[in-house]
Amino acid sequence: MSILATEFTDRRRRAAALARQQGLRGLLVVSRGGGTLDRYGDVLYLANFYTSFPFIPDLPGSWTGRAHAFLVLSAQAEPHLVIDCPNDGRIALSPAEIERSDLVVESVIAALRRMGLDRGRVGLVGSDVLTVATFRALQAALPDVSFEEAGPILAELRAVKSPAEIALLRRASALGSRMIEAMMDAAVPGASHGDVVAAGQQVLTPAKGVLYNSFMASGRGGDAPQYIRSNFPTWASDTRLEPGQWFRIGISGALEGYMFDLSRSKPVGPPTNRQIELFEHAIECVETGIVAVRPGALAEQVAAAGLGRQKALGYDMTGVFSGLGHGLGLGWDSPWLAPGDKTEIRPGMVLCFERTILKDGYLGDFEETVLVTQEGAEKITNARSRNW
Amino acid sequence: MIEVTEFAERRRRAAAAAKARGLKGLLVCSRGGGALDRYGDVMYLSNFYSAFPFIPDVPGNWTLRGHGLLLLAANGETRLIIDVENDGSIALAEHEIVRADLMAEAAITAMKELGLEGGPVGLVGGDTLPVNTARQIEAGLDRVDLRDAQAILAGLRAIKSPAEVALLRRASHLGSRMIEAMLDAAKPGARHGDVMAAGMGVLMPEGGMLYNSFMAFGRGGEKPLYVASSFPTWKSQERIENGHWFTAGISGMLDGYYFDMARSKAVGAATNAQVAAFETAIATVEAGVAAVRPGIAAEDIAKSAFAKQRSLGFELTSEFSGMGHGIGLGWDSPWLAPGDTTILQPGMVLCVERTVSRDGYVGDFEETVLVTETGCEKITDARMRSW
Repeated sequence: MSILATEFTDRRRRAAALARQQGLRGLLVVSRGGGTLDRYGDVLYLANFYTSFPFIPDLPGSWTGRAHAFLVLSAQAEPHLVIDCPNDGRIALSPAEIERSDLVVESVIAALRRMGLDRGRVGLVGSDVLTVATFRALQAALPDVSFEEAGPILAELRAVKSPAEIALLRRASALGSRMIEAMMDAAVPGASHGDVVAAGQQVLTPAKGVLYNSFMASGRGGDAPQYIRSNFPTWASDTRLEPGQWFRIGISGALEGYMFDLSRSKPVGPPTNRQIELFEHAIECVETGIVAVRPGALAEQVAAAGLGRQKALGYDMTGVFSGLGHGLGLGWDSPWLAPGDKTEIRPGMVLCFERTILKDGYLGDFEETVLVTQEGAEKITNARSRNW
Repeated sequence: MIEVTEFAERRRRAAAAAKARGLKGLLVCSRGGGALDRYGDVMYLSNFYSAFPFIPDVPGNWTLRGHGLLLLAANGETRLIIDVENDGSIALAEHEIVRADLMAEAAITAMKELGLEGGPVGLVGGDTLPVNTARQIEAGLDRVDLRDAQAILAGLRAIKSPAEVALLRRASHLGSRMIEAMLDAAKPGARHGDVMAAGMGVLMPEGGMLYNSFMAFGRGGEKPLYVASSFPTWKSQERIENGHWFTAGISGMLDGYYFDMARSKAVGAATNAQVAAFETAIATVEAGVAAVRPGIAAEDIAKSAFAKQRSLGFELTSEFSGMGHGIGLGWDSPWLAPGDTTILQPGMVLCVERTVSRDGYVGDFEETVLVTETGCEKITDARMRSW
């Protein structure tokens, strides 16, 4: 299963058309690679390229812009992709449109000039991965260009998935589901967080998947509460699981570039009523949000449904993430299921619904991924919901 | 572990360097969010890493998630802006830590409080600060002039303290066990994913984390074969066979400190041409290691090693035109590459690496060394020859 070259061509055509509509002369699209899993999506979406070379700071004259890829699009010229490692044969462009360079930034400046993007308004996509130093170098070399934020052009295109993308996202969610089941099975008395994540890797890695994040915590509620977690890495805690604790994990990763994102909770040893109450309430908040999904609803309305249920169940709205979820594709995508996001939900969007709730030292965590259909939503994660 | 007093001393030295350059202070930005690149500057000064993944700004809800921002005034006053709960490991007092969903806005407020406006402020980690956030911060302050001050942190981080050297030894030791497990797993019938999984089985239970794993296998000679993939690097479904060469180069971290090493092996009985490539990679690296001593320039290490490689009849083509780099909370200064004239000093920890190829045969080797008063000491200890 892969995406046809014609689909990439069509994506570039639509991106260039949207840029033209906004009065932009062209687009400069920047993405990251280098062994990390955030923010590779825009260039991969348009050209099927990810650079595996790690980021190293610019050493002028020797190398610049490493671990980044730059795609220049203009309505008047062929696309031009500047890369810092060899083409592995998968790039969805013709060889003449690809330039390999150690001095990536200098090559990008030359390409912008050659393609007539050396003056006027040029849209910038991926400004969050463009380094301040590189941006200043571009601006100094091209003083007549006004670089304008054009991230929403790609965000809009990427939000609605093609049939080929949906098939890839289904495969990724199936793999993520098998991974989290293996981790749930490994979360037994005596295991450390590291043992649990290692069990997950044994499912993920041989299947060509890559881990992005694994959030884990274990603990005890009630009078002598206990909360065990670690920031870096998230599996660094030495404390071992004990009967009577709750345990939660939320994992994300990618297969063929497309992401999965899901979470589950369980009791370690026999469950208590209070543990199950929190687990069930997390499920209920997520399921309430999913039920509200239908084409035409606004992202913030869907969020309000799930977050409203959480409030109605008597939980504080504290947490590390104030939304109910987000789009999913070659990264976290639009829309954001959060107050203020008025994006209309459309068929072909793939959305994650997530909630972590806390009370009296007890914790419940649940997340699912759904495809928006003509009628509502279809789950594409299929891990066991209840591990008790 | 590193004492809180060591973090305070690092901040004192960074603030003094900023003051000496006429800066009102420093704006230090680092990334987190499950990625292993570019968390080092904020971690070096405050021991903070944000576990929250990067998500694009949704104004009014959140900004700059997945980053940490440390503001350091020339008088030493500090604020750390974070987007997740303090897990107790931050080396700052509670009143110096601000948790906010709107991190960019919180940074502007803190910069005003610390007087970081109305003049030049040094920017560290400008490669992690989104362009739009930089613009937002500049617009939110009264005449702030953000100037590149990366060299201040690069200089401090290049020389390791005894506590850092101890952590780097532990990391290199774990990386050595990991690469040995991967070499053992690179048997006929195995795929790259199986080899990677074997390495993960060693790394993760110890609390380690993978950054990059570059792998390739193949055949040289008349019917050459080269199997590698770029995303992920263990994606290929082809299986290793007897008669192949195999190379692995891994990097990752333990307690924030990196390891970075590479090895090659023959699958089945080694041939002369395979061994020539493997031994050339080793000899090139060893020539570089032999040249390491205090007082020599970084680029001279590269020159010694490159001369050795050429003398062995292997051309200087590679994806990386350098011979290595410092290592610590990331890739550190100096760069063992032509043009880097940094003078080596005791306490630097350096990776010396080379991938060589000829006629479809590949050799890969990398070691990590501590610069001592008299030369250097290897801190990687994986078996060198698996044939």
